[in-house]
Amino acid sequence: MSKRVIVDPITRIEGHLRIEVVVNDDNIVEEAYASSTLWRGLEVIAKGRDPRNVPLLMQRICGVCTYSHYLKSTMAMEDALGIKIPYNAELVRSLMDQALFLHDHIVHFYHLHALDWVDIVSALSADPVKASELAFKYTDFPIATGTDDFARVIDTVGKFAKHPQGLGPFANAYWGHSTYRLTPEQNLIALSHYLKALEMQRIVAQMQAIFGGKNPHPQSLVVGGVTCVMDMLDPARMGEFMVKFKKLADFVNNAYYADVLMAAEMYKTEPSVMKPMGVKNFMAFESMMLGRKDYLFDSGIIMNGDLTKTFDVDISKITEEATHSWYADDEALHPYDGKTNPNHTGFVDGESIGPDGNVVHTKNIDPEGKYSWIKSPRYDGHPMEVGPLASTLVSYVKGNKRVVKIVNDFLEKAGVPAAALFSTLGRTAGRMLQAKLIADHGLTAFNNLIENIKSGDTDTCVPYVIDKDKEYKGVGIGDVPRGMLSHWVRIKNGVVENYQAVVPSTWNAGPMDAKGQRGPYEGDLMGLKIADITQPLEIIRIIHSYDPCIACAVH
Amino acid sequence: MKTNNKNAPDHVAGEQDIEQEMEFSANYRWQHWVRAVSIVVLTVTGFYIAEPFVAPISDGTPTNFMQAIFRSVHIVFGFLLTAVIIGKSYLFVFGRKHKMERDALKDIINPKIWIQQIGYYLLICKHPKLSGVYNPLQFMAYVGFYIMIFVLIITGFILYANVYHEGFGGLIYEPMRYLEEMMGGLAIVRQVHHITTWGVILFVFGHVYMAVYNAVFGKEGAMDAIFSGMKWHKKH
Amino acid sequence: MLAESKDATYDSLQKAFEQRVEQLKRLPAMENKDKSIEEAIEEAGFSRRDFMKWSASITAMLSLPATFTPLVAEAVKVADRLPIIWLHMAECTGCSEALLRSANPSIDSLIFDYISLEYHETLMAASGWQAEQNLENAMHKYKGRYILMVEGGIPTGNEGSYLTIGGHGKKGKDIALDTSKDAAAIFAIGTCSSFGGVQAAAPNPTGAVALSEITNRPVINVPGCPPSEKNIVGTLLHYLLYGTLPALDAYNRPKWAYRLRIHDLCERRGHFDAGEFVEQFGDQGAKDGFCLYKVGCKGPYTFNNCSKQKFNQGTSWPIQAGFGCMGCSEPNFWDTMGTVNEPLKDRLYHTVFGGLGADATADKIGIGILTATAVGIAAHAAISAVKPPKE
Ligand code: HEM
Ligand code: HEM
Ligand code: NFV
Ligand code: SF4
Ligand code: SF4
Ligand code: F3S
Ligand SMILES: [Mg+2]
Repeated sequence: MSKRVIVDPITRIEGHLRIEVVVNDDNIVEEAYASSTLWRGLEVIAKGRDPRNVPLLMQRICGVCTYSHYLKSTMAMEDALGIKIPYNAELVRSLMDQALFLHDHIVHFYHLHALDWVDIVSALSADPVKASELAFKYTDFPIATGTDDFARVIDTVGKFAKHPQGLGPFANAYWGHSTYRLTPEQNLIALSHYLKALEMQRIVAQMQAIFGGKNPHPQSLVVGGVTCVMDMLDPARMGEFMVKFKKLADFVNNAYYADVLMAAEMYKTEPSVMKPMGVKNFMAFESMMLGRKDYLFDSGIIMNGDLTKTFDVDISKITEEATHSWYADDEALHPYDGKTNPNHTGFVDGESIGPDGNVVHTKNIDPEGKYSWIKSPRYDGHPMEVGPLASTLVSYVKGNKRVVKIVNDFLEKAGVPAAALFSTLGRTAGRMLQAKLIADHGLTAFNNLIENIKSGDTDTCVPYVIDKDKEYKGVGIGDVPRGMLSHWVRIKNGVVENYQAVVPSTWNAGPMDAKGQRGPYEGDLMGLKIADITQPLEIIRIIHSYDPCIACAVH
Repeated sequence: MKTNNKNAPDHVAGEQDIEQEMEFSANYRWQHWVRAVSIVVLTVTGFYIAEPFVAPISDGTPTNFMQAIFRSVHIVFGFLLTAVIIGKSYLFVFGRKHKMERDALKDIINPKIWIQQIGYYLLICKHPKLSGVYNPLQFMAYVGFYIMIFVLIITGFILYANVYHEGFGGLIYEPMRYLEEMMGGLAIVRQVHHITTWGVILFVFGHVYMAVYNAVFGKEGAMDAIFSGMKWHKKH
Repeated sequence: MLAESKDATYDSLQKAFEQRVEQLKRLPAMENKDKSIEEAIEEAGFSRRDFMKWSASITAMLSLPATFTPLVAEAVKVADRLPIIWLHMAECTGCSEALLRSANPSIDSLIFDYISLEYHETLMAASGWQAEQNLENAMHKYKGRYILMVEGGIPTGNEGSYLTIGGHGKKGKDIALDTSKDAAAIFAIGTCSSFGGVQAAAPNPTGAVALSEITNRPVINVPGCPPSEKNIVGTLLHYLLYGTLPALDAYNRPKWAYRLRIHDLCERRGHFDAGEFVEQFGDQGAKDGFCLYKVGCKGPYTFNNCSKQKFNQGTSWPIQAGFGCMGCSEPNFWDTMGTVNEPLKDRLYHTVFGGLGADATADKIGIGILTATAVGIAAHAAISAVKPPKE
C-alpha cells in the first residue's frame, strides 16, 4: 500500500517549503510535490512605483542572496532606459557580486547543507590524532588540523551531545541515519570547518559592505551606476577588500574544496546521492564581469544531459505558467506580459505518515488542482535546471579554459566521470567549483579596476532622464548564486506598469506544468528509495543540494 | 487728521460727503505686518530647507553654514509668528477692541449675506451690509488660514523638538514625539508641514488680490486701513 | 546639574542591576545546562580577558558608564538560562542573516545557537515533524520563560492563509499568536514584524501587519531592514540586565538604539549645515563626501543608530557608501519616504488615473493650484475692470 510523507517545514533553507511524496511498499517515491506556503506579492507592490525605488524593494525578495535582486532589478531599469553605466561601476558591482557568491556558497555548504552529510554525533568519537593526519589527504594546507584544535571541538560539542535537549538547534535531527557515510574523523574535520565558516561568512560580508554600506541588503547601487565613489577611490578600502578576498580564497581552496572532495570519496557509492536527475536540461546566463567583454560565467543551454553541445539562450522563449500554482491566470505568458493575481485554493483534508510512523490526519496537496505559490517557468516549453552546476556545465562544454581546468582537476581527484555530475553530489560539487572559480579568478576584476582608476577614470555614475511620455521595457538577466535570474519591467507614465521576476528557485522548485512535466525538485525525488520514512534525510539532502530559496521562488 | 477718537465717526473738514472711520489700531496693524513678513520669510527659508536651491562657494571644508543659517532664520521667524498668532487669537476671543471682528460671526450664520456677498464677487449683486469688519467669505478664508497656521505651528514644533533637544525643545520633546507617532512618523510630519505651506501661499495670493480689488473697487479704502488704520466711506 | 542627575540615575540603575543579577543567579538552572556561558566561552578558546573586553564594549554600546562592565559580565554569565524561539513569518531572512553577522564569533553562536536557540528554521538541524516537535517541546518546557523573537510580517488577508507551516497547514498568524501567549518577552525583529514591512507596502496584497497588531502581549520592536546585529543582541541584553522591558519610544523601539535620528550623528552633518550637497551621484560633491540630502537622504526623519554603530563590525553604513538613508527603521517607510533618490518634497502620490496623475508631487500640486488661482484672479480682475461691481 502506498504511503504519503509530508516534510513541512523543510528547514535549513530560506523560506517556507513543503515537500510531499507518495512511496510504495518498498519506500520508493512514486509521486513527488514541492509546494511553497507563503506569498508576499512584491510584483503587485512594484506596480505604480517610481522605477528608482523598485530595485531596493525587489532586494527585499531575499536577504540571503541579498544583492542579486537589487542588481538585476537595477539592470532591468538601465536596460529599459538605455543606460550604459561607467566601466568602474561595472567592476565595483562585480566585486560585490563576488562577495555575494562566496558568502552564499560557503553558508549554504557549511550551515545549511553540511548536516545532511556530516553526522556531528559521530564526530565526537573521532581520534583527534588520526583526524589531524587525515586532513592532509585532501589538501596540502588544511584549515582545520592539529590535535589540540580537534580535541577542543570534540569537548565543546560533546557537552551538548550528552544532553539531547541541550543540543538546541541540533536537537531531534537524524543523527546515526543509515545513509551517513563519513568516518568519525572525517565528520570531525567537517564539523571544525562548520565552526570556522561562521567566522568566514562574517568576513566575506564585510567585503561586500566595503562597497555596499552594509550586508545584508547593501545600499550603494543606483540606476546609472554605483554611489560608493569615495570607497572606490580610497586605497585603504581597496586594500582591505583584497586582503579579505585572499583569506576567503584560501578557505575555499583548503576547506570547502577539500571537504567536497572528501564527501565525494565517501558518497560516490551511496545510491540516494548518486541517483540520476529527473530533469537534465540546464541553462545559465553570462555574468560577473572581470574586464571589458570578459565574463566569468558563460551563457548557454544543455539539453537532455548531452555534454557534446550547447545552445544559445533566446530570452523570448521564456514563459511562466500557473496551472498548478495559486494564481488566477493559468496560461503560459512571457514575463513582459506576466500576471500575478492570487487564487489560493489551499490544501485538502487527508492522511499521511506522522512522526511515529502511524497514519495521522493532515492537510495534503491536491495534485489535480493548484498546490504551490511558485509558478512554473519553462524554456521553449521545457523545464530547466539552473544553478552553479548548470553554469559550470555550460562553460565546461563550451570549452571555457578557466572552467575546463578546474572541472577536470576535480573529476580526476575525486575519481568520478563527468556523468557523475548529474546527481545530488554533482550539484553540491558544482557549487563548490563555482566558488573556486571565483576564488581563483575574481581578483582579475579588482586589478582591472585599479588599472582603470590609475588611468584617471573616476566616473561611477551617468545621468539619465525618465521621459513620462515614453513607454519603456527592459530586462536584467544573469546568473546569481542559485542560477539564472531575470527581472522584467515595463515603464509607462514614468512609473512601473508591469513587473515580473523569474527566479532561479522558481525554475527549480516550480510545480508541474499543464503537460504534466515536473520541475527539477519534483523530478529528482521520483524513484528515490527512502530508508526510513519517519526520518526522511534522503529527501532533505536532495532538496538541499539545490540551495532552496523560497522567498526568492515566490516573492 | 484726528485719530484719537477711536471707533467713532470722525468728520474731516472740506470733505463733506466722505467720512473717515478708525478701523484698525496701530497694534493691530503692526501685528498684521509682523505676520506678513514672517510668512514671507518662513516660506522662502522653508523652501530652502526642503530643497537647498543655492549653494555656497565651497572649497570642500564646511565653514559658512548656509543651511544652518537658513534654518535658524526659519526657526526665529517661526517663533515670532507663533507669538503674534497666539496674541491675535487671544485678542479675537477676549479683546474688547476686537468686538467688531467677533461681530462678523453674526453674518456667517445669515445665508442672505452669504448669497449677497457671493453675488457681489460675481459682479451681479450689491455689497451686503455687514455687522462686523469681515464679510462671511473673508471670514471663512481667515478661519481656513488659521487652521493652516496652527497645523504649521504644531508640525513645526514637532520638527523643532527633534532638531534642538535642550531648553524649550527638550521641554516639549515628549508630547511632540507622541504627536509625531500619531501622525505616522517624521516623514509625514514634514510632508504635512510642506503641503500646508502651499495652502498659506494660496491664501496670501487670494488675500492680496482681494485687498487690492477692494481698494480699487470697494471705495472704502481697506488698503489704506491696514497701512494707516483709517477707512473711508460715503456719508449716510 | 545635568551630570549630577545622571549620576543619580546610574546609581539607582546599578542597584536595580545588582538585584537583577542576584535574582537570575537564584533561578534554578534550566535543565541540562551544566555550564555557564563563561565556561563555555573558555572552552571555545576565549580567555576571560576577551570576555571582559566584550562586556566592556556592550556596556559602552548601551551608553552605560564603565563601572557597569563587571555587572554586564555577570548578567551574561547567567544568560544561558534563557531559551529562545525564533519564528519566520512573511519575511526575506535578511534579519536572520543580520544575526549571523554578530561579531565576536563564539559569543554569538553560544548565546543564540549553541545554548538556548530552541527553534530557528534557518539554522536548526531537524525538519518536518521533528522540527514541529522541537517547537512544541520548547513552548511546553519553558512556559513563561522563553523569549520569542519574530522575523517577518503577519499576513492576515484571506483569513491568514497566505502563510501556512507544517503538515497540519497551521496558519502563520496562529503560530505567532500561540507562541506569544507564554513568552517571557517578545521581540519583533526587523521592520517586517515591527511594522508590517515590505509586504505591507501599498496595496498590501496579503494584509500583512505588525506582530503587535495580532497579540495583546507587549512587543518590543527592533526595526530596520534588517536591523544591525548590535541592535538585536543589545535588546536581548537589556532584558537580561533589568528583567523588564527596556525604555521604549512611541513606537515601542528601545530608546537606547532608536532615540536619535540618523541625521543627528551623521558624519556628513557638517556639510548639511554648510549647505554643501551632492547634486548628482558621482559628481565632485560625491567624491568630497558632501551631504546626501538632495539626492534623497531620509536621515532627518529616521530614528536609528546606524550613524553610530554602523554595520558589519563597523565596516560601513548606507551614508558612508554615498547612497543616503532610506528610512528603513520607520513605519511604512516604503510608502511615506517618497522617491528614494529625491528629497521628500518630491514624494510621488499614487492617484486614480491609472498612473496618469501619479507624478504629482507636493510642489507640483502647489504650483498647479497656484497657476489656476492666478488665471482665475486675472480673469476676475479683467471682467471687473470692464464691468465694475455694484455698489
Ligand atoms: C497689499 C497689502 C495688504 C493689505 C492691504 C492687507 C490687508 C489686510 C486686511 C485689511 C486684513 C484684515 C485685518 C486683519 O485681520 O489684520 C488682513 C489680514 C491678514 N493679512 Fe493682509 N494685507 C496685505 C498684505 C498681506 C500679506 C503680503 C500677507 C502675508 C504674507 C498678509 C497676511 C495677512 C494675514 C495672515 C491676515 C489674516 C487675518 C488675521 O490674522 O487677522 N497680508 N490683511
Ligand atoms: C507660515 C509658517 C511656516 C511655513 C510656511 C513653513 C515652511 C516650512 C517648509 C516649507 C519647510 C521644509 C519642509 C520640507 O522639507 O519639505 C519647513 C521646515 C521646518 N519648519 Fe517651518 N514653516 C512655517 C512655520 C514654522 C514654525 C512655526 C516652526 C516652529 C518653530 C517651524 C519649524 C520648522 C522646522 C524645525 C523645520 C525643519 C528644519 C529641519 O529639519 O532642520 N516652521 N518649514
Ligand atoms: N533563488 C534564488 Fe535567490 C539566489 N541566488 C535569487 O535570485 O536566493 Ni534567496
Ligand atoms: S525587515 Fe527587511 S531584512 Fe528583515 S525580514 Fe523584513 S524585508 Fe527582510
Ligand atoms: S547625509 Fe543625510 S543624515 Fe547625513 S547630514 Fe545629510 S541629510 Fe543628514
Ligand atoms: S536606511 Fe536603514 S540602515 Fe540605517 S542609515 Fe537608514 S536606517
Ligand atoms: Mg515572478
